[in-house]
Amino acid sequence: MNAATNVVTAGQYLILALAWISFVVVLARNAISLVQLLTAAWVFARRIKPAPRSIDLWSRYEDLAPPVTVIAPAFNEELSIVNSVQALLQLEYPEHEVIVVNDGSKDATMERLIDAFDLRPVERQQLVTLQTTRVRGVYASPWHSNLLVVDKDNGRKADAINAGIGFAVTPLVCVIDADSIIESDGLLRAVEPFMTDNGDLVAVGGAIRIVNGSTVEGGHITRIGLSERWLPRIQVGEYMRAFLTARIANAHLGILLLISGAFGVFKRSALIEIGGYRHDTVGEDLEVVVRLHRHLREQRRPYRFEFVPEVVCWTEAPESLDGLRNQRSRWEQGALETLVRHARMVGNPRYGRVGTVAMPLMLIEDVLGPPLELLGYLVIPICYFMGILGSTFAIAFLCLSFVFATGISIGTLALEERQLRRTPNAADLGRIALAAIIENFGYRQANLVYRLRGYWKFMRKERTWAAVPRLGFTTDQAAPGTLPPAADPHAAQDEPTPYEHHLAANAPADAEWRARGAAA
Amino acid sequence: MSTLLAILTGPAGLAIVASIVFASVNGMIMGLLYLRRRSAERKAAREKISDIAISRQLITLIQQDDFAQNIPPLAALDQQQLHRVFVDLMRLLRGEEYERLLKVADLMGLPDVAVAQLDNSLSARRVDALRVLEQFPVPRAIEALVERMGNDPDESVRLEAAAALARIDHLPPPHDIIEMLGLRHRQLNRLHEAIFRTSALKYAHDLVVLTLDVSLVHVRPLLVEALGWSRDFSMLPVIAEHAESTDPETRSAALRAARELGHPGIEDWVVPMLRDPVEHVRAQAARTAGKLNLRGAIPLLTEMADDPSWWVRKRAIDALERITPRQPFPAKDDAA
Repeated sequence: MNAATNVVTAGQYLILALAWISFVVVLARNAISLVQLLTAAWVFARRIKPAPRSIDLWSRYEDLAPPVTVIAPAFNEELSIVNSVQALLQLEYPEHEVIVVNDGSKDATMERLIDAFDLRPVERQQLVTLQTTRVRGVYASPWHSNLLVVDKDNGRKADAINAGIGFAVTPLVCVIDADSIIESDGLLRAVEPFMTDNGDLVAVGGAIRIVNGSTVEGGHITRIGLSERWLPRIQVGEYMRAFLTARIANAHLGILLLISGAFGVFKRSALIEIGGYRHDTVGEDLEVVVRLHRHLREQRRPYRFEFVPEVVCWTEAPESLDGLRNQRSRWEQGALETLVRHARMVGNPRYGRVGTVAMPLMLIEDVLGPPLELLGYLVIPICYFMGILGSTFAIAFLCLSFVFATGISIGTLALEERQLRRTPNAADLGRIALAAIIENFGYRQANLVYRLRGYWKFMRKERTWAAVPRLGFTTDQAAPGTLPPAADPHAAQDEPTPYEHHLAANAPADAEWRARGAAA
Repeated sequence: MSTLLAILTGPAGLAIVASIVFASVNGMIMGLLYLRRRSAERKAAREKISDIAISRQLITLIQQDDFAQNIPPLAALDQQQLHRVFVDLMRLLRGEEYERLLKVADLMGLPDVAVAQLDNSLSARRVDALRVLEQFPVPRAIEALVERMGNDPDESVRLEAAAALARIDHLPPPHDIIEMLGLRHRQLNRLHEAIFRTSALKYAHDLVVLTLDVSLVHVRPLLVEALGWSRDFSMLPVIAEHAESTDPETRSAALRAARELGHPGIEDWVVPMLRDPVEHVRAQAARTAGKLNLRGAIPLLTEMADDPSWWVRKRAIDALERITPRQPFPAKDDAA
């Protein structure tokens, strides 16, 4: 009898402990969100807004804006590729080259490009080889001198980007998804921080919004709108939380770990130094930024990442639960792969705030958060009905999960309305606010389940890349996991530009590093 | 009641209260912003009509000979709306009409609010004020911009002031720019380059003097490069002199300046620089030779196709393609 009682008691203690752990983790996640919201509000209040008419200055001194290569990897994009490339060629920027990398598409992507832009094979030497698959050919257009199309065997997105980086000759590269819709002045806005850079800026991310519900013609947004469906509407709020609070706060605190794969401007030499994007992860955008942090910290070089809150790019959100499931499980899997690969950074003071703050936060957010919050939804009601937890505790958990989280979403929306005002009208503002409330009843929980699926895929070491169903975007194929080759330090160096010479002359540490790199 | 109080003061109770209060406060703020947006949307059509009416009044006013005597009092009008209308109109007007409208803005005291805002403790607000002043380049506004450029405690505000003055072509002489922005010891960036380039049209001879100042070695490449933007061919001998500098940065800057001036008479000193011992100088020389179509550079550029530096090889090949163009795109049949 006593033994049975002891087992019951032990079981109760275990359930109670799990309930408390869930509560603490949910509390911690909310506290993190609150700090991020307050930090973002502080940054917005004090920031010097970007020049309203930066184009005036830059068009006058156009060769001052550093040349940029926009790298657009494309796989089975026959429906949209021509419009996308036309839009990229029309970006407002003094000097930019567009490199489209056809990653072994099985549809007519390449034929569409050849017909639309009258492409002809050309000889163009690749400065550095980072891709692991064969380049079949390089094409240029007689009518668009700033367009280069690289046709290669399929090797997934990271491999395609790496091929593009290898062909880029500009100091900056802008990595995008082929279906990203870039704001006409998005590139200009994102590169603006480089105008006053003292040489330590490595990459810039920008805010991304959801295009569902907007009117897109010829690769341009002609009317901003909100989707009729609730699933994309909820994601609008989610994107705002991610880009307007988390990224801004993290960038301000020097712990930005993610520059979205849909749009990011990088110093080309930095990407080459670390061997480009990894081929063996589904979260290559997160991994590359973490690896840059790690590399630069280990080299003891000053560096920074910046984030531009202005909307620079629009992307399509999944409109079905299947699409959402694939996307979220992939994100989770990517986060876990990155955390495991860079586990030695977690809590390690050698990596500064990135090691002591950012990586542990990622651990809470991506490893502990999803299963424990989900567990809380199951365990706390059980505890309540078993009588081992009071109703106050159960209500507190629900308040933290639903009410406080809604407060964060509404606060973010208020911040957006106060500072950026990119929501089309008051009615849409109301709808997004409503979506922030509805989100708590089913969507959040479903998301947690999808993220657990990411756990499962991570543990099974799955490498298949289940695509998010989108217009003109189908499935990608698996490629064997391969490590990027070590970069040639000579190739990593950019063509020196005037102001960089000054930096080299004035910053002995940097010059010394360059010399070491060259010697190696 | 006391039970409820006891519950709410415990840790779980605090979590409940904090959640509700936090969500309610944010909800109220959002509600106010929502109402403000609705009100703005409703007013938008009316404001548009009102904007047109004010624009017409202003156009009529500046066409009168005694317009300065008929300025309406500012207090009677919405400051924000007035600012918007003035800026829109100033983008459309040119010549005397523009000058008269500027005078009206000055007499109505439009820059005054911005001048007062320059004392704000937040750098961001001071920059907002600078941008307003830039739109009304009356003497008071220019004076305020120069004052900020020289005295603001925040380096980024000083740089913004300089950029604003550059945009309205009222930069102080280059020597003052160097001192005000503290460039003797500061790291240089692209915006500094832009500022010197702007000043070159007005202050080319001042720049020449400064390029010879031994205490300005750090800034010299920027000054030499700016000479290329002077549109003055008489600067070429000075640039050629700096092309012989022992400092490779200055030699590079001289090549860029020469390239910008675009005078083919520089072949004599550009071609030997294709043999410069420093890689980036050779690359600049190749670019300059290519841009200015210097046929005398062809033999050396051809040799440079074997240069150890990838960048030099690329620039040499690019230059050769410009000087001796071959059909860059094979016909489709050939390609097949």
